Amino acid sequence: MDGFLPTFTRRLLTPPALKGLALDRSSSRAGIPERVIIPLQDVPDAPFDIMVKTGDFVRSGQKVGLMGKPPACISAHATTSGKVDHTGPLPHPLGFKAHAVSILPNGEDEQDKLMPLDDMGLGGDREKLFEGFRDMGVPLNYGLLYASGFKVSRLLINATEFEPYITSRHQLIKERCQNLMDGLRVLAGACSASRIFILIEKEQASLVRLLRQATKNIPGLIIKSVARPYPETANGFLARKLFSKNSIFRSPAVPADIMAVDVSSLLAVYNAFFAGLPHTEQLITVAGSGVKAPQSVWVKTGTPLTHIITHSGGSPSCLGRVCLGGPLMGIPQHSLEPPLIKRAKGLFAAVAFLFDEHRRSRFYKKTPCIKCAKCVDVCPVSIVPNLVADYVDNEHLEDAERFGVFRCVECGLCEYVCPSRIPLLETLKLGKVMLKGEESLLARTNLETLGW
Amino acid sequence: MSNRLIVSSPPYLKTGETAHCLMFDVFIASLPILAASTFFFGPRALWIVFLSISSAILTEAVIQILFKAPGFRFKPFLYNFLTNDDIDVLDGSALATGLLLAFTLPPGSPFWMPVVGAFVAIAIGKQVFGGMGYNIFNPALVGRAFILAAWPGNATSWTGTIHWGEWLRSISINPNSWMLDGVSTATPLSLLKLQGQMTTPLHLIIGNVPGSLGETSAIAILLGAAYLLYKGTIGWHIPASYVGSVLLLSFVLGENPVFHVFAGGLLLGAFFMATDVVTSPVTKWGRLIFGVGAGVVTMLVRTFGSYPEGVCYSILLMNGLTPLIDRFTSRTYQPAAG
Repeated sequence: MDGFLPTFTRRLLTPPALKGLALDRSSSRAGIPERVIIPLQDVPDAPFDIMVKTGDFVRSGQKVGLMGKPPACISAHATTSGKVDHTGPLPHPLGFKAHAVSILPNGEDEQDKLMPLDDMGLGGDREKLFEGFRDMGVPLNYGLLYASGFKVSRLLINATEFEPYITSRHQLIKERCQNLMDGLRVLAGACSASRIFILIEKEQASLVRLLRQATKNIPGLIIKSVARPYPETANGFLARKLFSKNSIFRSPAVPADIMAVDVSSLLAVYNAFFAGLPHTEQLITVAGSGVKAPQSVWVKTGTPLTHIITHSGGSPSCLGRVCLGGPLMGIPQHSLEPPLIKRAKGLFAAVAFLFDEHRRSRFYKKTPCIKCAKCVDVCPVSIVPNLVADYVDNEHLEDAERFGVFRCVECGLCEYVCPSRIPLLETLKLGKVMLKGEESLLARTNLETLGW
Repeated sequence: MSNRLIVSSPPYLKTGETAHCLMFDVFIASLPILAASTFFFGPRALWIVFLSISSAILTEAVIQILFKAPGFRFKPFLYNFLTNDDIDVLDGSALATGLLLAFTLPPGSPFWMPVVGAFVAIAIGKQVFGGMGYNIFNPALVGRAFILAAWPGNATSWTGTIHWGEWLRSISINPNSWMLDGVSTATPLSLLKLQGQMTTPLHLIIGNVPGSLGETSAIAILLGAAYLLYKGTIGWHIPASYVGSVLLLSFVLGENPVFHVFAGGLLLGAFFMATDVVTSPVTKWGRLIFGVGAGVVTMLVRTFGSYPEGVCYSILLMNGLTPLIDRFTSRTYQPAAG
């Protein structure tokens, strides 16, 4: 009778944030895994360059390859020391086989000595500095930078955490606020930024205070507390909303001089500029019923998911669903072999329990749309999901495009609230694929080299 | 890796809420109205509500067994009925329809009126279009409009509130004595229209005036509406624009705004009928336009029409315009270049 009897509690349109669970704990370190896989492709058939051979000994921080095509490329580094045991197609979290470098760690974690960009005297030269960041594997929007000729002058830092449970950005601010803001200072100086927006939720009052203290003398910086979090895919929408003065007659295109920077990229900038450390380590939140408790973990990039789950107190054999990211926008995984990639902010693992279709209450099945308009109320980019999904279902693709299918940021809230259990997000994604002939946004956008 | 993981499209979180919950919310919100109408009109109110609901559910069940579930097996009837996936009588929409239809009927209706009304509401108002989610007009109002057109005499013979002491004295073992009819009178709106006589707003708010079962007590309706608004089952857009436009228009037309808001079925219509999710627009501006349009039509019928009440027809008219409103209020975008 699940879903049949009414409940008297008020249901909100957005899922509970549940941030306190992981944010109250301090982070742990996942240690060195048995194997590290460094993927060199983000999408199938992407150009790449491999710099090591099987049998080579690599040190942590040594460059092993290039992702993408110069100049808008990014270096991939070995994240621990060891022997290269395989180069070739290996499983990627996006579900295809990507060319990758597999390293068998020797357990020593010897660091490769690199000179900090600060000591190289790159502070002044903008182009050289970004080239340095590129070589250090700092995830920035190099496609935009090179296309606009480094004319980026406004920065958008979305520090809100859209996913429930996932708190890695908040944890980073909590632990390394001073370093992050030093990184921001470097980046702002490099772009001679005129305006910087940092978005953070109102509830995180302590973090807002931390940020305000650390950013006192950065000119043009505004810390904006927002009521609801925005997904990182909505950054283009946010940029339009925040930076254009006249909000009624704003043009639909995002101005080319706005760059969205992730919080974790600021730490990478700091590490590269002041310490000479390439991007080899990242903070993620591991959550879900498959692990002991939600927690923040420092993980070496390229660690297989099995290692992270075991470190967090989960057992890989009893998991039923694992996705990279959070439970709303995560990338589903079909095995635990793929490595962690740089853009992942969390790992959501759920045990295999009552996932069976037949065991579910019969009231949890798809029924015709009753036009309750909850999806319309909740949509962050103001499209009408039920109408667009209807058009996609009936293959009226021009109408679907006219009513804004490409405006969808795939946040999944429409499907979260739908009382008729219509797979709205799936349908909208399908509409994009049918219109473009290829997968879009989350799956296809090369987030590491092209964007947020 | 030996274990297999489930790969499906995100999101992996859902609200536990289903369409059934929304319908049962309407039922819960109707309970104060049911109590008020029983208090003012006697046990006959419960009898009419019971007839209407059972007729609605029975009609829906029969139609779904006959037309929607082709492979229905009659052998263990109840088991098959409860477990068949094609039959969704239990979603509560028939319950809500029957209940709301009964609320629009006069307390002195003969027993066949709610039965026929609920049959028409479900069969012609809903199932003809394909069932829940596909109907164009609010089914309860379709039934009400049918009854008003077919038996205008019965549908507009109003009775006053009953005297409970008298009822207790007259009650005996004979079932005929269980029902007690009030004295035939006119509703506040007809009194105003035909005799130019005003009813005190206090009586309208409490509800001890003649009228349909569910429409007289403003307190009970507002109590139910508060629950619906708190639960998020209905939004504020339609009731606010509907009641607001009636207030404004009655002021402009030189009528008493407070009287026009509390008299007749306006509050019941604004909070329970016009907010029916299936037949109201989905966009926010569309909802506001819907409410304003219904308010304008209501006031025009009340002031210039020959009927004393126009809520039913105003909502049905705006139901018909809903697809159009939706079409013109959804934002469209230029196709992306390239």
